[in-house]
Amino acid sequence: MTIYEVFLKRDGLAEFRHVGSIEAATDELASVLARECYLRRSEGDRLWLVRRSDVIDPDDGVLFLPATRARRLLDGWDDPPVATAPMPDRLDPDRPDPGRSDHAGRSDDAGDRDQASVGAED
Amino acid sequence: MPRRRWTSPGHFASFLDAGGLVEVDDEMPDPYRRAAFRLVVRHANGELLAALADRDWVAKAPGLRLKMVALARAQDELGHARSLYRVAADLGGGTDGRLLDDLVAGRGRPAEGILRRSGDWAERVVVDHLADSAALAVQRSIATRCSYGPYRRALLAMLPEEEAHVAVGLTRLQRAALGTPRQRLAIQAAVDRRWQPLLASFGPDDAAEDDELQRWRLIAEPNAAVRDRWVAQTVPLLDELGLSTPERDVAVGAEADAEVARLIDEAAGRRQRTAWVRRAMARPADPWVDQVAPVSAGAGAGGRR
Repeated sequence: MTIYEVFLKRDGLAEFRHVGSIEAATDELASVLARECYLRRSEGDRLWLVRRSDVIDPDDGVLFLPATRARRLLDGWDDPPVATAPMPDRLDPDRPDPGRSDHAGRSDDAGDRDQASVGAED
Repeated sequence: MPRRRWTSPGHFASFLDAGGLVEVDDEMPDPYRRAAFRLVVRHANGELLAALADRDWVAKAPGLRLKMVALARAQDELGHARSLYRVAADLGGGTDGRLLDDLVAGRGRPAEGILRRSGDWAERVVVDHLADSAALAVQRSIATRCSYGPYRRALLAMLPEEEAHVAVGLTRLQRAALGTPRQRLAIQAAVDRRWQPLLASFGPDDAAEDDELQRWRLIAEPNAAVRDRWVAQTVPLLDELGLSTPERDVAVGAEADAEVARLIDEAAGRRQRTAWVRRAMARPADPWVDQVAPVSAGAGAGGRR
């Protein structure tokens, strides 16, 4: 007897979801039993059966975002820039990029260095 | 490899108190595993026995529509039993087949599902609705707070189907209870005979076991609390149909508990239980199902067989 994990896609844009497991002697019997157990009311439009022994179950190191990868969350910096100078009436032709140096505190470059110094590289 | 482990009983208890869900590959404490296993196996046995009882009525139900209802219910209940046996087998480290062997051999706890066996069609009508609504009350209660994830998910998946069973059962009960005088008398007699077994189907008032299951957050409240709430909902419903219940004026108290315990012993006694289960499971199918032969048209509508 083999244990199969049962995945069902409800319909349309729904994703496959694990709905339970069944125990059967052959793939064909597993299909019939999965139908009778989990699809009696046509609860889905696709069915996957996966032998439990074939399921890859990685450990927590793979699952959880390490602290050194916090930058991937892209949720900004904890000290946002503060406007210190009034909005100029027009662009000064001698300063092609006025916004960068107007940031209070550190620049974008400094932020990148901070993140990189925390831990490992990608 | 265990997914999670808890360093101390206190750590596990606070995880449960915070509403944590235990999963199959967690390293749960052994007493928790045993308690969850017993709870799920008992439910699985109940579903299987209900399916067998329904199957027996496929041939005998009066009319094609009622045969189809019995067949559909049996299929639902077999599906529930099968998914619950899988949850239990994963907990107990065994196979589905071994759990069935245990049931047939009479090992483990008496299955309250035995109380679903019913004598005549009137009892069937009464039991189909009331036993299902009783089971639904229990399952809803467990599904609100059960700490074992796979069981809780299985419960949530089967609740809509149980609700459908209760609804179709209520229609049948209403039709019979508001039918001809003969039907109404038959239904009242069936309620009189089945009321105590129905109360017994909630399980005995076993404080020690309730406490253990509650401590593990496997059940949300003791058997007696679910039963009393069900009685409070069901008596007015039967009242509307002009049906009286034997316990009308007596609260479900200590003497009623003793009666319930006696009924469980009597109806789910080891010898009788195993004999019925063994016979029911040994018979592959009703001859009627094999031959697809017409059943004698002698069965009347509603309350008569």
